[in-house]
Amino acid sequence: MQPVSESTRGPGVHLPVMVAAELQDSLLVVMHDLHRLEGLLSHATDNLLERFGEANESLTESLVHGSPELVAVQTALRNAVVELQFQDMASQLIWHTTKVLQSCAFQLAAEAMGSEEGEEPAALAQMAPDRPNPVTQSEMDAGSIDLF
Amino acid sequence: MQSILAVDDSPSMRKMVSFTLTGAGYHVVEAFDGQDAYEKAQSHEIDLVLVDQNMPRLDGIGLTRKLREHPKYQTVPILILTTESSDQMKQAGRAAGATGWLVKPFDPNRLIEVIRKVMP
Repeated sequence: MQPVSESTRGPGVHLPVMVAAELQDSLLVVMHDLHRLEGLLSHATDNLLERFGEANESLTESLVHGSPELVAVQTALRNAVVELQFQDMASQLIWHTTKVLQSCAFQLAAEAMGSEEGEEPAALAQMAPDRPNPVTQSEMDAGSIDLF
Repeated sequence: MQSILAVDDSPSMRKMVSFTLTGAGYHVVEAFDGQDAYEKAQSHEIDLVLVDQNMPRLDGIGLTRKLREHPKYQTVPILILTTESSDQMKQAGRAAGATGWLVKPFDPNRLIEVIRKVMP
Protein backbone atom coordinates (compact mmCIF):
# COMPACT_ATOMS: atom_id res chain seq x y z
CA MET A 1 0.00 0.00 0.00
CA GLN A 2 1.56 3.25 -1.11
CA PRO A 3 0.99 6.60 0.62
CA VAL A 4 -1.41 8.85 -1.27
CA SER A 5 0.45 11.71 -2.89
CA GLU A 6 -1.05 15.13 -3.55
CA SER A 7 -1.09 14.44 -7.29
CA THR A 8 -3.09 11.21 -6.94
CA ARG A 9 -5.41 12.45 -4.22
CA GLY A 10 -9.00 12.58 -5.50
CA PRO A 11 -12.04 14.07 -3.82
CA GLY A 12 -11.47 13.30 -0.17
CA VAL A 13 -13.67 12.08 2.64
CA HIS A 14 -12.96 13.96 5.83
CA LEU A 15 -12.46 11.55 8.70
CA PRO A 16 -12.86 12.84 12.25
CA VAL A 17 -9.66 12.37 14.22
CA MET A 18 -11.44 10.24 16.84
CA VAL A 19 -12.77 7.85 14.17
CA ALA A 20 -9.30 7.60 12.61
CA ALA A 21 -7.81 6.89 16.03
CA GLU A 22 -10.37 4.14 16.71
CA LEU A 23 -9.74 2.57 13.31
CA GLN A 24 -6.02 2.68 13.95
CA ASP A 25 -6.49 1.06 17.36
CA SER A 26 -8.56 -1.72 15.77
CA LEU A 27 -5.88 -2.34 13.17
CA LEU A 28 -3.22 -2.51 15.87
CA VAL A 29 -5.33 -4.99 17.87
CA VAL A 30 -5.70 -7.20 14.77
CA MET A 31 -1.94 -7.03 14.19
CA HIS A 32 -1.35 -8.05 17.80
CA ASP A 33 -3.81 -10.96 17.41
CA LEU A 34 -2.06 -12.09 14.24
CA HIS A 35 1.24 -12.03 16.12
CA ARG A 36 -0.31 -14.24 18.82
CA LEU A 37 -1.70 -16.55 16.16
CA GLU A 38 1.78 -16.90 14.67
CA GLY A 39 3.13 -17.76 18.13
CA LEU A 40 0.43 -20.39 18.67
CA LEU A 41 1.12 -21.96 15.28
CA SER A 42 4.84 -21.95 15.91
CA HIS A 43 4.47 -23.55 19.36
CA ALA A 44 2.02 -26.17 18.08
CA THR A 45 4.25 -27.01 15.13
CA ASP A 46 7.35 -27.38 17.31
CA ASN A 47 5.49 -29.87 19.54
CA LEU A 48 3.95 -31.65 16.56
CA LEU A 49 7.32 -32.09 14.87
CA GLU A 50 8.92 -33.31 18.09
CA ARG A 51 6.21 -35.97 18.46
CA PHE A 52 6.53 -36.76 14.77
CA GLY A 53 10.26 -37.39 15.22
CA GLU A 54 9.71 -39.47 18.36
CA ALA A 55 7.11 -41.61 16.57
CA ASN A 56 9.47 -42.18 13.68
CA GLU A 57 12.34 -43.19 15.98
CA SER A 58 10.15 -45.51 18.07
CA LEU A 59 8.88 -47.25 14.98
CA THR A 60 12.35 -47.79 13.60
CA GLU A 61 13.52 -49.25 16.91
CA SER A 62 10.51 -51.44 17.67
CA LEU A 63 9.69 -52.99 14.31
CA VAL A 64 11.80 -55.32 12.23
CA HIS A 65 13.73 -53.43 9.57
CA GLY A 66 12.01 -53.80 6.20
CA SER A 67 8.83 -55.32 7.64
CA PRO A 68 5.64 -54.45 5.72
CA GLU A 69 4.16 -52.81 8.84
CA LEU A 70 7.19 -50.56 9.26
CA VAL A 71 7.21 -49.61 5.59
CA ALA A 72 3.47 -48.80 5.69
CA VAL A 73 3.75 -46.57 8.76
CA GLN A 74 6.88 -44.85 7.49
CA THR A 75 5.11 -44.16 4.19
CA ALA A 76 2.17 -42.66 6.08
CA LEU A 77 4.52 -40.44 8.09
CA ARG A 78 6.38 -39.36 4.94
CA ASN A 79 3.09 -38.46 3.26
CA ALA A 80 2.17 -36.30 6.25
CA VAL A 81 5.20 -34.13 5.50
CA VAL A 82 3.19 -32.25 2.85
CA GLU A 83 0.58 -31.07 5.36
CA LEU A 84 3.16 -30.45 8.09
CA GLN A 85 4.55 -27.59 6.00
CA PHE A 86 1.47 -25.49 6.83
CA GLN A 87 3.25 -23.45 9.50
CA ASP A 88 5.88 -22.08 7.11
CA MET A 89 3.22 -20.98 4.63
CA ALA A 90 0.92 -19.61 7.32
CA SER A 91 3.69 -17.55 8.94
CA GLN A 92 4.64 -15.98 5.58
CA LEU A 93 0.99 -15.16 4.97
CA ILE A 94 0.64 -13.65 8.46
CA TRP A 95 3.85 -11.62 8.02
CA HIS A 96 2.63 -10.15 4.74
CA THR A 97 -0.86 -9.37 6.09
CA THR A 98 0.63 -7.74 9.18
CA LYS A 99 2.79 -5.49 6.98
CA VAL A 100 -0.28 -4.42 4.98
CA LEU A 101 -2.23 -3.67 8.17
CA GLN A 102 0.70 -1.79 9.66
CA SER A 103 0.96 0.33 6.55
CA CYS A 104 -2.81 1.03 6.67
CA ALA A 105 -2.65 2.02 10.34
CA PHE A 106 0.22 4.45 9.88
CA GLN A 107 -1.18 5.92 6.68
CA LEU A 108 -4.53 6.43 8.37
CA ALA A 109 -2.82 8.26 11.21
CA ALA A 110 -0.77 10.37 8.82
CA GLU A 111 -3.81 11.30 6.75
CA ALA A 112 -6.03 12.14 9.72
CA MET A 113 -3.53 13.72 12.05
CA GLY A 114 -0.67 14.69 9.78
CA SER A 115 2.82 13.28 9.65
CA GLU A 116 5.09 13.83 12.59
CA GLU A 117 7.69 16.50 12.24
CA GLY A 118 10.55 15.29 10.07
CA GLU A 119 8.69 12.16 8.95
CA GLU A 120 8.90 11.71 5.19
CA PRO A 121 6.18 10.04 3.08
CA ALA A 122 8.87 7.58 2.02
CA ALA A 123 8.96 6.25 5.59
CA LEU A 124 5.31 5.22 5.26
CA ALA A 125 6.05 3.51 1.95
CA GLN A 126 8.79 1.47 3.64
CA MET A 127 6.24 0.02 6.06
CA ALA A 128 4.26 -1.54 3.22
CA PRO A 129 5.35 -4.90 1.78
CA ASP A 130 7.71 -4.31 -1.11
CA ARG A 131 6.27 -7.13 -3.19
CA PRO A 132 3.05 -9.11 -3.63
CA ASN A 133 2.08 -11.79 -1.16
CA PRO A 134 4.49 -14.69 -1.78
CA VAL A 135 1.91 -17.28 -0.72
CA THR A 136 -0.65 -17.75 -3.47
CA GLN A 137 -1.68 -21.29 -2.55
CA SER A 138 -5.11 -21.85 -1.06
CA GLU A 139 -4.74 -25.60 -0.53
CA MET A 140 -2.02 -27.86 0.86
CA ASP A 141 -1.51 -29.78 -2.38
CA ALA A 142 2.11 -30.34 -3.41
CA GLY A 143 3.46 -27.51 -5.58
CA SER A 144 4.82 -27.53 -9.12
CA ILE A 145 8.36 -28.50 -10.13
CA ASP A 146 10.30 -26.84 -12.97
CA LEU A 147 13.72 -28.07 -13.99
CA PHE A 148 15.72 -25.61 -16.12
CA MET B 1 27.23 -40.58 1.47
CA GLN B 2 26.19 -37.55 -0.59
CA SER B 3 25.65 -34.27 1.25
CA ILE B 4 22.82 -31.83 0.74
CA LEU B 5 22.86 -28.28 2.05
CA ALA B 6 19.28 -27.50 3.17
CA VAL B 7 18.67 -23.77 3.60
CA ASP B 8 15.51 -22.31 5.13
CA ASP B 9 14.83 -19.68 7.78
CA SER B 10 11.89 -21.74 9.05
CA PRO B 11 13.02 -24.36 11.61
CA SER B 12 9.94 -26.48 10.85
CA MET B 13 10.77 -26.54 7.13
CA ARG B 14 14.37 -27.49 7.89
CA LYS B 15 13.10 -30.38 10.03
CA MET B 16 10.74 -31.57 7.28
CA VAL B 17 13.46 -31.38 4.64
CA SER B 18 15.99 -33.15 6.90
CA PHE B 19 13.48 -35.87 7.79
CA THR B 20 12.83 -36.49 4.10
CA LEU B 21 16.45 -36.42 2.96
CA THR B 22 18.02 -38.41 5.80
CA GLY B 23 15.28 -41.02 5.31
CA ALA B 24 16.42 -41.31 1.71
CA GLY B 25 20.04 -41.86 2.76
CA TYR B 26 21.53 -38.39 2.34
CA HIS B 27 23.68 -36.48 4.81
CA VAL B 28 22.07 -33.09 5.51
CA VAL B 29 23.85 -29.86 6.42
CA GLU B 30 21.35 -27.26 7.64
CA ALA B 31 21.62 -23.49 7.26
CA PHE B 32 19.19 -20.84 8.53
CA ASP B 33 19.65 -18.24 5.79
CA GLY B 34 21.64 -17.52 2.64
CA GLN B 35 24.61 -16.03 4.44
CA ASP B 36 24.87 -18.97 6.85
CA ALA B 37 24.58 -21.30 3.85
CA TYR B 38 27.33 -19.53 1.95
CA GLU B 39 29.67 -19.91 4.92
CA LYS B 40 28.80 -23.61 5.36
CA ALA B 41 29.25 -24.19 1.63
CA GLN B 42 32.89 -23.14 2.05
CA SER B 43 33.58 -25.50 4.93
CA HIS B 44 31.67 -28.61 3.75
CA GLU B 45 31.72 -30.80 0.67
CA ILE B 46 28.23 -30.28 -0.74
CA ASP B 47 26.71 -32.29 -3.60
CA LEU B 48 23.42 -30.39 -3.90
CA VAL B 49 21.91 -27.20 -2.49
CA LEU B 50 18.20 -27.00 -1.64
CA VAL B 51 17.37 -23.41 -0.79
CA ASP B 52 14.33 -21.33 0.19
CA GLN B 53 13.84 -18.01 -1.62
CA ASN B 54 12.58 -15.51 0.98
CA MET B 55 15.07 -15.28 3.82
CA PRO B 56 16.74 -12.49 5.82
CA ARG B 57 20.28 -11.28 4.96
CA LEU B 58 20.65 -13.28 1.72
CA ASP B 59 17.78 -14.83 -0.25
CA GLY B 60 17.80 -17.97 -2.39
CA ILE B 61 18.46 -16.22 -5.70
CA GLY B 62 21.22 -14.14 -4.11
CA LEU B 63 22.84 -17.27 -2.67
CA THR B 64 22.60 -19.03 -6.05
CA ARG B 65 24.32 -16.09 -7.76
CA LYS B 66 27.09 -16.04 -5.14
CA LEU B 67 27.66 -19.80 -5.28
CA ARG B 68 27.82 -19.80 -9.08
CA GLU B 69 30.66 -17.29 -8.89
CA HIS B 70 32.59 -19.79 -6.77
CA PRO B 71 34.60 -22.35 -8.84
CA LYS B 72 33.57 -25.17 -6.47
CA TYR B 73 29.85 -24.57 -7.08
CA GLN B 74 29.66 -23.89 -10.80
CA THR B 75 28.13 -27.29 -11.56
CA VAL B 76 26.62 -28.32 -8.24
CA PRO B 77 22.81 -28.57 -8.62
CA ILE B 78 20.91 -25.80 -6.84
CA LEU B 79 17.18 -26.26 -6.32
CA ILE B 80 15.06 -23.38 -5.06
CA LEU B 81 12.20 -24.55 -2.81
CA THR B 82 9.78 -21.72 -2.15
CA THR B 83 6.16 -20.56 -1.85
CA GLU B 84 6.84 -18.13 -4.73
CA SER B 85 5.31 -19.42 -7.95
CA SER B 86 5.34 -16.44 -10.33
CA ASP B 87 7.02 -16.86 -13.73
CA GLN B 88 8.98 -13.68 -13.09
CA MET B 89 10.59 -15.16 -9.97
CA LYS B 90 11.28 -18.47 -11.69
CA GLN B 91 13.03 -16.68 -14.54
CA ALA B 92 15.07 -14.70 -12.03
CA GLY B 93 16.11 -17.99 -10.42
CA ARG B 94 17.02 -19.48 -13.75
CA ALA B 95 19.05 -16.41 -14.71
CA ALA B 96 20.93 -16.64 -11.39
CA GLY B 97 21.96 -20.22 -12.23
CA ALA B 98 19.43 -22.35 -10.38
CA THR B 99 18.91 -25.91 -11.62
CA GLY B 100 15.23 -26.02 -10.76
CA TRP B 101 12.32 -24.31 -9.05
CA LEU B 102 10.08 -26.24 -6.64
CA VAL B 103 6.95 -24.69 -5.18
CA LYS B 104 6.01 -25.47 -1.55
CA PRO B 105 4.59 -27.55 -0.09
CA PHE B 106 6.90 -30.24 -1.39
CA ASP B 107 5.94 -33.88 -1.79
CA PRO B 108 8.74 -36.00 -0.22
CA ASN B 109 8.66 -38.68 -2.92
CA ARG B 110 8.75 -36.15 -5.75
CA LEU B 111 11.53 -34.20 -4.05
CA ILE B 112 13.68 -37.34 -3.83
CA GLU B 113 12.94 -38.15 -7.48
CA VAL B 114 14.06 -34.68 -8.58
CA ILE B 115 17.20 -34.85 -6.45
CA ARG B 116 18.14 -38.22 -7.92
CA LYS B 117 17.56 -36.82 -11.39
CA VAL B 118 19.79 -33.77 -11.04
CA MET B 119 22.48 -35.05 -8.65
CA PRO B 120 25.53 -36.47 -10.43
